[in-house]
Amino acid sequence: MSKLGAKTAAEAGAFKIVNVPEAHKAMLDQYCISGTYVGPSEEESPWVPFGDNAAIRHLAFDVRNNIYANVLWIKSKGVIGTHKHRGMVWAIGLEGSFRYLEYDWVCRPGDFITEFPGHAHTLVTDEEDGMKAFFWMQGANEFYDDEGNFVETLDVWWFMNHYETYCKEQGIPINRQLYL
Amino acid sequence: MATVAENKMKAPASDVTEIVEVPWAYRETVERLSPGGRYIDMQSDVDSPWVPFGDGAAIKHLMFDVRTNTYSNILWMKGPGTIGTHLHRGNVTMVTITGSVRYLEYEWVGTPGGLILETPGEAHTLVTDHPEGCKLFGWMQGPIDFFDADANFIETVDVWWMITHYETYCKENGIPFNEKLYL
Repeated sequence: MSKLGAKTAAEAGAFKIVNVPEAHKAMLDQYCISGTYVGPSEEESPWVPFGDNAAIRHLAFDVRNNIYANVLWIKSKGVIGTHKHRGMVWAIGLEGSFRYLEYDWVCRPGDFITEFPGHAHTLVTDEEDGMKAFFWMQGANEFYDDEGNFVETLDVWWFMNHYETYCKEQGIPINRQLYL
Repeated sequence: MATVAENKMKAPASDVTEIVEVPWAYRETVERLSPGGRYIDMQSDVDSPWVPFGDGAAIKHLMFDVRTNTYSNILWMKGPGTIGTHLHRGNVTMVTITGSVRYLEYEWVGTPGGLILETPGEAHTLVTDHPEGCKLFGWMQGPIDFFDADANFIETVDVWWMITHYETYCKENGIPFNEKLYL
């Protein structure tokens, strides 16, 4: 058996494009999905109002896996009401801070959190200048009113519709980079 | 905070044999952007041919998903034989359709209808002792590293290998590619 771990990934660090052996180049040329790039401008993806005090900047929609990614911005001290996840969530704090009434941690810039199917929680920011955080979400997201009445299930279709409706209203061209 | 809600779904919510217009706000978006579900026949060669995999085996390709490196197929071992030791870097879901299958590393024997689950990091050696071999339906995610009998790494197989395997055979035999296989 070869000496496992003798070669480290850190050694493979040439600052140049290395020609990687590829047995199926023709297949990649034909079928490989291009990665996407979404820059910071509002032309590439605008802030779409989400109620009076929040906005969502959509970054990716994957209809095959019901995945959607975006930045949530709550503009001042405020709440995203209680919602229940049926899928997984990954998030990183970007600005300000936010927390959930149900947990004892606070997510600040650079902090990383995960959420799992079955979690129901209430997102708040105590900051005068609010918060921004990047979210990568899979699956359905159920929203409830303050009496605990079910309001609506949000998933990739809601998020796409949120983005496209606003773009149409504002005459902003749909950015294909958002569609995986 | 969670309150206890009534579990209403004690049986299928409706057994009426008619299409119910489900409230759904995004029907138009789904029609425009969803790749759509599909049906692929596994019993015949109509949707996908048997592609030889060595002398004693063949693969019927059923699905290629280049976004998640997921692929589905039927592996047919035509008689007693072995698929040499390989290491999975993703998940595998398999169902034995005919014959039987086992791995040298495990104690169980898979028989028709049985479900086999494999998880990242497992290396194992597939064997069928059954006189008629086996047919295995598989749903695989991620790469599989194959090794020779001396444990030399030979090749990493994933969705690209599967598409090449299918398309090369189709071209050689004048079979048109079936769009349904590409998710």
